[in-house]
This record gives sequence, C-alpha cells and structure tokens, in this order.
Amino acid sequence: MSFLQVKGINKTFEDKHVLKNVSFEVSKGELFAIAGPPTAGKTTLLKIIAGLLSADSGAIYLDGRDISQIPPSARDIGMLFEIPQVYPNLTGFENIAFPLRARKTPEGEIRKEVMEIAELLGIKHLLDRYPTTYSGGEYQRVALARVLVRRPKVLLLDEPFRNLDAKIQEFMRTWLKELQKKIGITVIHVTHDPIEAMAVGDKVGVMLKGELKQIGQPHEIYLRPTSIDVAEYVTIPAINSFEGIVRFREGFAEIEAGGAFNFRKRCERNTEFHEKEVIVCVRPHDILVDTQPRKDWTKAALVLSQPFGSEILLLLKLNEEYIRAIVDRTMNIKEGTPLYINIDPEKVLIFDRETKNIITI
Amino acid sequence: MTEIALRVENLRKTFGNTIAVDDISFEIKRGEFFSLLGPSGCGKTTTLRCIAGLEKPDKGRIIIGGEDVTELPPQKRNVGLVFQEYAVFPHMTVYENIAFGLMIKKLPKDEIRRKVIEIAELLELNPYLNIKGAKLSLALMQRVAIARSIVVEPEILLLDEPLTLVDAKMKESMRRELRRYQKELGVTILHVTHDQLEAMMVSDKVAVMCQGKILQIGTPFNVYDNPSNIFVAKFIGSPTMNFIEGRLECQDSELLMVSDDVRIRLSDFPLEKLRDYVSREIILGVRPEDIEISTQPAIGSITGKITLIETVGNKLEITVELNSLTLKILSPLRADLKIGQPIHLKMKPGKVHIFDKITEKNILSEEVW
Amino acid sequence: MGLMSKVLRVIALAIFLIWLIIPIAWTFSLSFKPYLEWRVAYFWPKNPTLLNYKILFFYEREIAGTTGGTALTKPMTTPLINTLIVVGISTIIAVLIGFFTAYGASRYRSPGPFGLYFTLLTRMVPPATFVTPVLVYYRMIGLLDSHIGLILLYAAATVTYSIWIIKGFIDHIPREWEEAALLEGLSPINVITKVTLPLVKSALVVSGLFVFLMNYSEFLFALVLTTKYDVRTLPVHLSTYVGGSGALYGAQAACGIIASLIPLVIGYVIQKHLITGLTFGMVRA
Repeated sequence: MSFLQVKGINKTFEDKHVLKNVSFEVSKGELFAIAGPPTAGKTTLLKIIAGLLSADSGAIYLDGRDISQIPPSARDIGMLFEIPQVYPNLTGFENIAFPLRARKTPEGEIRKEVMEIAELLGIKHLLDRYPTTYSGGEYQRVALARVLVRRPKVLLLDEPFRNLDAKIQEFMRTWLKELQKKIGITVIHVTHDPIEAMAVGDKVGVMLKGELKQIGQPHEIYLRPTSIDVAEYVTIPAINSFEGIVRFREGFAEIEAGGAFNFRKRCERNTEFHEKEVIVCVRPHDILVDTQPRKDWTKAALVLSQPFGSEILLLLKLNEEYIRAIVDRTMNIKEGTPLYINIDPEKVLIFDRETKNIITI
Repeated sequence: MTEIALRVENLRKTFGNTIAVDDISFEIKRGEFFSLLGPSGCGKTTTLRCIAGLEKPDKGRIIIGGEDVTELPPQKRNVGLVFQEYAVFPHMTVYENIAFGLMIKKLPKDEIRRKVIEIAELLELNPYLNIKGAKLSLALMQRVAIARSIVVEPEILLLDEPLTLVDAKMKESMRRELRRYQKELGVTILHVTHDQLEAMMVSDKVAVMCQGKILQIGTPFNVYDNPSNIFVAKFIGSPTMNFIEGRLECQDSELLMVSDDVRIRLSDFPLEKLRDYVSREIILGVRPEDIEISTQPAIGSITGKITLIETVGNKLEITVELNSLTLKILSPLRADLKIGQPIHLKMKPGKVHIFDKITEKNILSEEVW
Repeated sequence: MGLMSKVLRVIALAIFLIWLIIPIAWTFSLSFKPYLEWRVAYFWPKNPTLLNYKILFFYEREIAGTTGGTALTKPMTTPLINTLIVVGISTIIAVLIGFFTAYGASRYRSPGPFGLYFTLLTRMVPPATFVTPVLVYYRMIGLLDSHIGLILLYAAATVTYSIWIIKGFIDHIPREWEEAALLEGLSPINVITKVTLPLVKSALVVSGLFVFLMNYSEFLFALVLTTKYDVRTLPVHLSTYVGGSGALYGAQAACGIIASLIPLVIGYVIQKHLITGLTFGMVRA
C-alpha cells in the first residue's frame, strides 16, 4: 500500500460540488504535483488532507493508518499556505519555534531543532530579524522552516511560489526540488501553473473543476493527454483546436479540421470512428512553418510575432481560424510576408467531440 | 503631436537613505511599447509613479509629448494609468466605465457615445457594454481598464505590472491580446514588470533596471543576444545562462578560456580586439540552448557527465557536471541519453559571451552603460 | 502651484489652527485669573493666582472668604479617581468584548437580516432618549449611585466602536495564519489569543483610546445616575463649581486643565503602539 492514499474524496460547499471523487496515491519520498486553474478545488483538497476541513465522503490513509477522523495537529502533516505563515510581530527564530512552543517542547530542544532546520535551509542569518526585512524568497524559506521543524511525514505546498518574482520562482523551484530529494520528504505541491507542476513533479495530476482528470509522469501528461480539457490546460502557449470530422476512405483516415486544413494518414478502416465529430488539436510547437511555399503546405497570414525566449511565438490566421505556432529564432519573420504551414499527422491529437476523450486512429 | 512621447531626463528619487531611482534617462517614441524590467526593488515602479505624477522626484525632468510636466499634478499630465488591480468600477457597466474619463471632461453626450463605441469595437468589447464591472472575468477587466485609459487619448499609457495577479494560463493569452491591441491602436505604452519573458513578448524596447539604474536598453532580441553585463545576461532568458569563471589565454594565436575545470577554445573571437585582455580574469557566459551536445567527441568539444534529464514541454533540460562545474543544456527531445552517461559539449559559434570579472561588463559590448 | 494660492493656503490653515486653539488657551489663562478677572475680555491675567487650583483640592471652609461669596466646593480627588475607575474599567470591558465579537463577525457569518449592523442601533438614537428609561430601570435594580452602574452603561454604549474598529483589522489578518496554528496544535481559543490578538494589538490600542475619550467626557448619564459626591465623575464634579454669585469660572477652568492632562499623558505613552504594527510586513516579492 502506498505511503499516502487518498480515496474518493467528495466535498460540497453550498450546493457547489467542489471535489468530485478525488483519489490518488503518493509513494514515500515522491513529489506529487497537482496543477489546476484557480477554483479547481486544489486548496480545498489540501485542507481536507491536512484535516482543516472535513470531506463529505472518502478516506485518507497515511503510512498504513486511517487518518480521516484524526484532528489536524495529530496527523503529522505540514502545510505551507498560499499566504505563508510568517507572523510579522515575531522574529524568524520565534516564528520557526512557534509549533514547538505550541507543543510545550523544552527550551533547549527548541533551540536545537530551530538551529538545525535553519542550517538546512540556509536561513540562519534571518533568525534574529523580523519578517518586514525579508525578501520574497527568504520569507518563503522561513515559512518552510516553520513547517518542517516538526518533521512532518507529508508536506503540502499550496502555491508556494505565487508571490515571488519570476526569476526567483525559477531559483526556488530548483532549490525546493533539491531540498526535497535531500531530506526525502513526501510532498504534494499544488500550483496553477502546469509548467511548474511538470518541472517539479515526479508525478503530475491535472485537476479541473474538482476532478483529477489525469495522473501521470510529466511528459506523459504533456505528450499524451487523455482528454481535451487536459490538453488545453497543460499546453502553454495555448493549443490549437479545431472542430472536425473523421472519415475513412481507401485505406486512409481523412481528417478534416474546421476549414483550416485537411490531412490524412494511412490506417485501417475503423467503423466506430467513421463520420465521427471530433476536435483536432495541434500544439504550437508541432506546427511546421516556412517562409517559402512548399508542396501541399498551406498559406497563412501573419498576425503577430512575439519573441519567446530562444524562440518566436507566431499568431497566424488561416481562413477564419487563428493558429499559434512556435518557430526557432533563426527564421527570418517579416511583417506582411505570407507564411506556409504544415502539420505532421503523427503529432496531431484527436478528441471525441462528445466525450472529450482522446481517440487513437 | 511630436515624435517622442516621453522623455525622462536624469530622474532621481530617494526615500530617506535609500536611493530608489538613481539618475536615469530614457525616451519612448510614439506608438512604442516600452518595458521597464527588473527585480522587485529595482526602482521601476517608483520611476513609473514619478512619470504619472504620484511621486515627486528629487531631481530630473519628465517631458510628455514635448511638454515639461515635472511640476504638474497627475491629472494635468495627459497620461493613462492602469494598476495591477485594474480599478474597474464594479457597480458601473462597461460602457459607463469607459465613458467615465470623458464624462469628467464634460464632453457632449453623443461625442462620448461615439468614442466609447469606437474603442469598444477595436478592443472587441461590444458584446459586453451593458455588463456590470463586478461580473467581468479578469481578462475582460484588463481590456476595459485599458479601454478606459485610452479613450481619453493620453500621450502615453502607463501599466504597472498588469499581469502579476493573473494565473499562468490566462497570462499567456493576455500577453498576446495586449500586444495585438497595442499594435492595432498604435498606443504608446510604458510597462513595468519583473517577468523577463513578459517583457520580451510584448515590447518594442526593453530597459533592464537594477538598484535604481538602467543597465541596458534595447529591443528584446538585442538584449537577449547582446547583454551588456552579467546582470542583464543572468536576468534575461530562462533557464538562466551558464557562467564559467576563468582566465583569458592566448596559445598559438588562438584565444582560450582556461580554468581549473575546463579549457574552452574561443575560435570566433577577434584576437586583435581582445589582445589587451589576455591573462585577465573573465567570466564566460553561454545560454543553455546554445550548447550543442553529442555522444561522440569532436574537435574543440569538452566532456562532462549527465546528472539529470528533465522533460520540459518539447525539450530536454540536461544537467551536466564537469569537475566542479554544473551546466544546464536545452536540447530537442531525444531518447538516447541516460543519467551518468558521458556527453560532449560544444558552444555554438557566435553565441558565447565574455564578461570582465571585475567590471562585469561584456567586453565586446558597444554600448556604454 | 502659484505663490498666491500657497499664501492663501497657509493663511487658511493658520486661521483654522487659531480657531481650534483659542478656547483651550483661554481656559488655560482663565485658570490663573482671580475672581475679579473671571469675566474680563483681555487674555492674560493681570494678577495671576493659584487660588483656582487650590479650590480643586481643599474643602470650602478654608477659602470661602476669598472667592467673593460663599462657595460649596469639594476636592476633585475623589471624582478624579471615580472617573479613572469607571472609564478605565468600562474601556477594558468594551475593548475585550469588542475584540471577541469582532473576531466572530470577521471569521463567521453574522446571523439575522442585519448581521453585525445590528450593533449600530445603540448609536443611531440621541443618547438623551435613553435617560429616563435607564434612570427608572437602574432605580428598580438598585444601580443608582454605583460604579458598576456607570461601568456597564459606558461599556455597552461604546462597545460598538471597538467592534467595528477591531473588525477592520482582523479582516486583514490572513486566515491561513490561524489555520497554520491550528495545524500546529493550538486550540481554537489559543489561536485567537496567541495568534490573532497580538497581531491586532494596535487596533486594541486605537479603539481603547477612542472609547476612553468618549466615556471620559460623558456628562448626561453621569449626572442623572449619580447623586452622591462619593461616586461622582469628573465632568459632573466640574459642573458643581458654583457659588452664590454664579459659576466659579476660574475653578472650572483649572479643573478642566487638570482633567485634560490625563488623556494627554495616556496618548503620549501609547503613541508608539498607534504607529507600530499598522503595516503587516507582507513582503510583496
């Protein structure tokens, strides 16, 4: 049995079904990242696991025992809140010592534990100072020290990098991941940013509208999303999606994508999918672009080009559809000149328009 | 209307003992999207507030549309300002929100109607004109806030970290919209942000700030390809640039960078220009995507060991260790790499930057900052 | 802005300042004026005297002859102590009840159609409306001429202010900080007293000062609900400085000056608390 098991959690708030049958497992020492848009229910889920909220139904098992009814402070779970728990009226030391004082730990032991965790997190210099003097990253680290000083079995992180500068977020992601591996603690890391989740997670879960839609390895989620909701959520820049129809003709599957383009691939006839209404999705990275016309490539108009790190993000218009594409910096994109695009059928994702699930053709 | 929408001359602002803005100057052309980019506390917001008239600078001049506005209060400066929270009146409809500034100016009703409809059309807000502000999504609120500020035709629109409070998914599409509408309407924008990717995506020009000073101004590609100093090189680009410390040496008429860990040939650097630098301490910078990897050694390649492979979207982020050096490499997806495997690296020609260790300046940089 | 408007501004401010200070300054000089100068139009006393202050602390027998007529005065020491007791304790009660009520109102939904606005009822009607009912009621239950009677009344009348001031502050304390403490093992009541209370200390001080000042100068109810000297408060006592020929203006002025020293000292001592802790130090990275 896995270290942490969450089974069938349901929660309703005032007629809103906020969590729908959420289940997952986390192995010891694993970092499970849950990504989802705001209001997907992520914070509610964490609070239920921590014991601050009670679920309407479902159970939670930690290290073999059922903790569903145990009060929060007895669960051995630590949680770093979205607004980190660093009290401005206490010094760094007092903040980190707070949970130990709450348990009436003897003074000498408090000192030892706080110094140890401060050493581990590299924040010894912050112990005598007040939080008003901390930088963003330091603030987060002190809060983390406070959570870890009790050596919880599981660490819950609620959008830990939300308020930090973009560059500092980058640094903290690596720092946190290294720390986690070093101390071997089991972590559930919740974020609104799918890229962050896929970067830090050993395993990633996508949570949409209260449901855990897909769980898997980071590259699995990105390359093989099981439903269109997941595909649309985890793809940044936004995935291109078109309404289309699949037809089978003479050993080929012909997919007509919403007036934008058609393509075909060799495959056996599958009666179930013939004349099926689908949604065809292509990731911006998978759109092939050239400044010169090529055979069978479609002409598209350039609407906008934006520098995107070492690449360029293009917004193209084809008939009435907008298409986003990413190309390498080396391509010479000039405003006003037409571009030609093509798509590798192997890279296309096809979803059933009704069930929203992926279809393999 | 003049060509230069905003000129800032020798702006200086202190708060007690802290110098927030330290003698900066720059100008923005009409129709340009100009970003002040820098970490928290670098002075970018203070600069924006001085330009808006919300702070009084200690020294310097602010010239908007050819007029010196340094002594004028905010309402007389003809600037538009959009805050992080967008400040859309929740109890008014979208129409009333946009019309607000015009009503204060006491314009005739039909002219107000005309202007509001025109802007709403351009920003695709027509379907929402009768909806109350409180019911709008964040993306719509941003558009309404922008519409409201530009309908009064300001010389320049000031945006104070407009996308900081937005979640990752929305941010991406809002950056696109913002740039599109700005280009279509030809609005001059001064935009403040700490997010380098954002600044790159939306701007015509980027000014990188640190501790109250402007370190470099250039187009996004400029600043990315030719950082004038280490701070800019480090701040722009994600994953962060790799830095290797060492000494510049010359051997057989060829330049090399030498350190305890590695020797790197610098074959595409002009010897004549760098002759004075030989034997000096330097820091070599190269971006993760500019290091080519191969499972086979080649002339001039250096060898390290793969310690971590991460899949990021459609790329691989590979961490390589070389004695005491750790390098990060961005490579297209491939299936043949394993942790622990030896790997051979070569820097792409023309993509290596050399910085003076002491001054931290790019030794080949043309700009004087 | 032009020089002209700057000058006009300064003049306007100066006039306003003078208008504010004149009554206080006049009272101050009046407290040193002898009987014959109590009704004069000039500012400084021609023959300054400390007699008015003496009147405050001694019984009438000793100074009857010198005030131009008989005067029945009693020392202000007892009323002063009464005021400190009554106002001090009612302030503490108002602030404590205010804090806990504010906490409940901030963290939980308030019942009924009006919710917390219900507490504003007590302040919506002129206080004089309640004089007769309270008088009759206090007489029935024997709370006339008692400290407790006034304490309860003052606390009830001003608790509204402390609730609303403190609630505003509590609203800004992130709930996450309390939840973290719960998770760390603190009982709910300890969370309130050990986490929230220290964080809103300055709110308690501000509302305490506000309530204190309101009750300190309360006159109407103190007058009606007390008859004996032993329980009298300062404002009522001041009004008793009346002689055969009319009010003892000098003594009243002196009493007022001494009475105003108390809040002044309190305000000075706590001003540090008024300023510190008003920002929460949430670092915006």
